[in-house]
Amino acid sequence: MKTAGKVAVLSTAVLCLTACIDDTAGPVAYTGKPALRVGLDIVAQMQIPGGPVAGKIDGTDTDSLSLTLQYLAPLSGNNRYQVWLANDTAAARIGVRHTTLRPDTVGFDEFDGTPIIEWREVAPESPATEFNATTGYRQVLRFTRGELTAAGVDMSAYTHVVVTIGSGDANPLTSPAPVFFRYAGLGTGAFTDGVAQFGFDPAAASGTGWVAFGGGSVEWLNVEGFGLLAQRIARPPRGFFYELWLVDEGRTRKVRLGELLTPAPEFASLMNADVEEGPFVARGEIIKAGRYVRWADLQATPDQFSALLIALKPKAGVADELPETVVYQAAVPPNLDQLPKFTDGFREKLGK
Amino acid sequence: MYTVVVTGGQTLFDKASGLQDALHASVEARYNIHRNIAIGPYLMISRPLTDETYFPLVRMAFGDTVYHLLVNQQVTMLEPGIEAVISVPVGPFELQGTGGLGIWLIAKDPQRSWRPGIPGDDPNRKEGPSVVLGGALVYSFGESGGLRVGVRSVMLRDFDREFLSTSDPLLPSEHIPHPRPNVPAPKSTINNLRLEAGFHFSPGGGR
Repeated sequence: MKTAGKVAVLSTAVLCLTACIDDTAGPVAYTGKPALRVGLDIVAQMQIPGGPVAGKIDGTDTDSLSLTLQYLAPLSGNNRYQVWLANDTAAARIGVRHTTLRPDTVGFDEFDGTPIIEWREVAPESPATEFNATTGYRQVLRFTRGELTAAGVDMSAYTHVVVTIGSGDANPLTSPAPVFFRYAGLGTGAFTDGVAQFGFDPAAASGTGWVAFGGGSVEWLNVEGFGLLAQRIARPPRGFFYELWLVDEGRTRKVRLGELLTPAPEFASLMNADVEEGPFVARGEIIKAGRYVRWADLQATPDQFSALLIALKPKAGVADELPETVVYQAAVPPNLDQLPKFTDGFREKLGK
Repeated sequence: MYTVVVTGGQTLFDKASGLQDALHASVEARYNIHRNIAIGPYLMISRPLTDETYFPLVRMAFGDTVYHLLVNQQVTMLEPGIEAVISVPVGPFELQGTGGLGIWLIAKDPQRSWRPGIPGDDPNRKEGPSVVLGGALVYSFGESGGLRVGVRSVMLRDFDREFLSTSDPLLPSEHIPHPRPNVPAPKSTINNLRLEAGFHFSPGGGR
């Protein structure tokens, strides 16, 4: 009996000692190693659609308006750019005289070597009710008060010139409208000079157009992938959404990653953030957005790219290409593939 | 008339518990009110690790260096109670059936997750009622000692898996998805299975 008792007590003590201390407790790094964080910033020289607008004085009154627009994306299918006069409740489609300008490099700056560009007319001005665009070219639209009157359009009933994307006779109050210009207060019909702006919102027709703000960060998890978190960024204009791209230095390699999503863990689509509010979309901004991308899913490696871009793109009507309207960007850290790889999943201990 | 039972073994925790399987030890003191019926107190002890994949991913940023961490801890689990045992001799062996009522108490690792509490509401420990049902096969060396192997089902009520989390809600990881997004749903009653082997002996000899 005494032997049995001693064996029992000894065994219990051994069991207790074994069970009492477990050195695998503690924080466990998901990637096994730290991630690198890079800022997601607003692009300094943003190429958003728009351009200068000039009114021409005939006698004592401004009689004609000329819009010189750039950064309009080439449209696909039957979609065309259409020109309207509109206010916040109604619109009338108008005809314009249209021409295209192409950039011609005539020399280089003797100090910094930047090219000196002259814009040359591609073809003579001609009447148009709709038009398409070419990457890198400028579109010039002209019309006069007399032409509008002859076409039966009372310009004093409207306040804005709006360029929309659509096929057939799309409604500018619901269609993507990359460019608008407020030419007068309601009832006056006077033309003025100014700047055509990006992102027409009929509900805020007196506003100043779309403006980028906010930012975020991208965390690069060595060779596994990367996670993006954008915070308090500008809500896309109506008809547009944010699309993510990975590009290399010369933008010869471009990979489309898809639209911006809500943050983890939901990762729900923000394709309709332009028209639908929600937990992460407020009236004027997207509060939080994200996207997680694994290199294995892309069948690519980080050394093939130099930047992550977020561009504004019309939901329909444009080709599946990198838009010119890149709004936010983050650099891909160099030599990311040389960071330590995790080999034991998320159970690898921090610091080991 | 007294029997002391000392056992150890492996606890297979309910998949909804957020606890990893762990070793345990127990000690029982039984008083035979009948040759085949005994009652007495028991105490089970274990120190399981929480399963970090059940809890939120946290993010700690130091400049441009960021850690996405899953955090676990080793908790201390005590389960005292009162049980009744019915024994049925079968040749040199004895079959035992056990049933008991008790409480469970889990204390968190104070070095990892201590938080200040108020009297009557200690955020560092939690307790609730438990029910034990089990069976064992006993082989006696003689009248005073023997070996036993058994299995016990321990039901813990008022269980709160969220209590075991050490992930600071102020440090959420929003850049990357959780590595294990689909864990079993939490339950307020969990059923753990204990596989055990041990010894019994009667200090006075005989029962």
